[in-house]
Amino acid sequence: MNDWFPLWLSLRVSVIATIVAGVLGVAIAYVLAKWRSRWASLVEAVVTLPIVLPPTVLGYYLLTLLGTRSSLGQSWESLFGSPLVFTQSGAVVAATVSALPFVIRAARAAISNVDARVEESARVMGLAEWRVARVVTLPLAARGIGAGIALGFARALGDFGATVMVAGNIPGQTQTLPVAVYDAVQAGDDATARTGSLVLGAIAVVVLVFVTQLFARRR
Amino acid sequence: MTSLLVDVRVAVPGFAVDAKFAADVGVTVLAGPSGSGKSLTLAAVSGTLRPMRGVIQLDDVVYCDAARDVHLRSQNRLLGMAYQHAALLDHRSPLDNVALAVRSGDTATRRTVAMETLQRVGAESLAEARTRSLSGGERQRVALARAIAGNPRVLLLDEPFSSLDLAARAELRALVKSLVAERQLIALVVTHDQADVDALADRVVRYEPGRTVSAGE
Repeated sequence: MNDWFPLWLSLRVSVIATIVAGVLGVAIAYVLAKWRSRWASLVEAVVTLPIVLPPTVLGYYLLTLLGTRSSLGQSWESLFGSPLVFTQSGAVVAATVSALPFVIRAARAAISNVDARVEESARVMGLAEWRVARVVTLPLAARGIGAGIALGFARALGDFGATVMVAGNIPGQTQTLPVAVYDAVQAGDDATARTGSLVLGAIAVVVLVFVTQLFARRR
Repeated sequence: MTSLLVDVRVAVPGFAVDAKFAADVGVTVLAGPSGSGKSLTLAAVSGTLRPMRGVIQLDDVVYCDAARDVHLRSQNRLLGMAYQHAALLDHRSPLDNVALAVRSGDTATRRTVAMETLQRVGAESLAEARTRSLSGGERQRVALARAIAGNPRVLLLDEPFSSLDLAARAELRALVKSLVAERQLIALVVTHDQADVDALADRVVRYEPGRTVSAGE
């Protein structure tokens, strides 16, 4: 593989997407875990939909929502001077949406599993709700949240369908590594396909070992 | 004379308890078998559970009044609390655990107060220990320090000694007794151990499943 641009782009896109999905996902997970309403399960279903949707369908929804003819897409364009779709920012959005449900599901479970008595003790000793979250709940849920963020990163790094729909496949501009592997296979470039697949596989193994260890220590 | 008035019906699915008693400075033991509603009463006093009906009031401060839909948040009730499985934060040092409960001052002041409180309960040597590795008795000492560090007026202890050996129980009972006297606390202690009742109680509220039976000296 002579051109490492797709790898660097993939890493950059997935790191940014993981940060965004991490912050957003933990906030949403916290609300879902604490919100006692029948609407909570509906909201959870909607935000975790990307796990079960075919990636291309997810990409189609995003393209419809953020494309140049949509109001969101037009707002973006008037704000930043260029469209969101078929850009690296579009790839970040696709990767973020793909990673988000993994963060939300793991973080929600971890936050729900925090012993309510410990949180109650903190309230009784005078800690405001935001301090209960910061000092008690989130640190106690940290391993589960960490595992979710790691899985989200792996998902963002490996995303193909949504990315190719929203960001396209422009070599040197929006072509991430999974898309480059697909391109290489189509072109009969076995060496590039093999190297790209090995790199993605190795990163996935490292992430999974990390996640497994986090869960093992939790038990 | 400071007095805590409890006159409530507290319910969870499948179970309800009517509790009616007044507690003054000193130790009021809520005694009775498991499942008789003692801890539910404590949860209502702490504000983690809303009573179905009735009032809880410390002097003229209404903690809750179901009829008027008044429910003071736990944070504003000036309580200290320690439970059977001392709910310490294992990711924080014992000193940090206690400092979190100090209600005013900057970080340095809070830590100073926390250290003094740990000294008062004989746990100053544990200040920077690994919280996770404390023994049951040590955890309860730290939990007691945390419970009183915020200068509460009411101290809630739920089976605080049940996981300890006999020697540790005797020491901690004496410690609770002296802290209550020294700080003029209203202590509500939930227990099903008669030895706790004998050693601690200035007053006893006896529970039977679902109702309060007697409140006596």
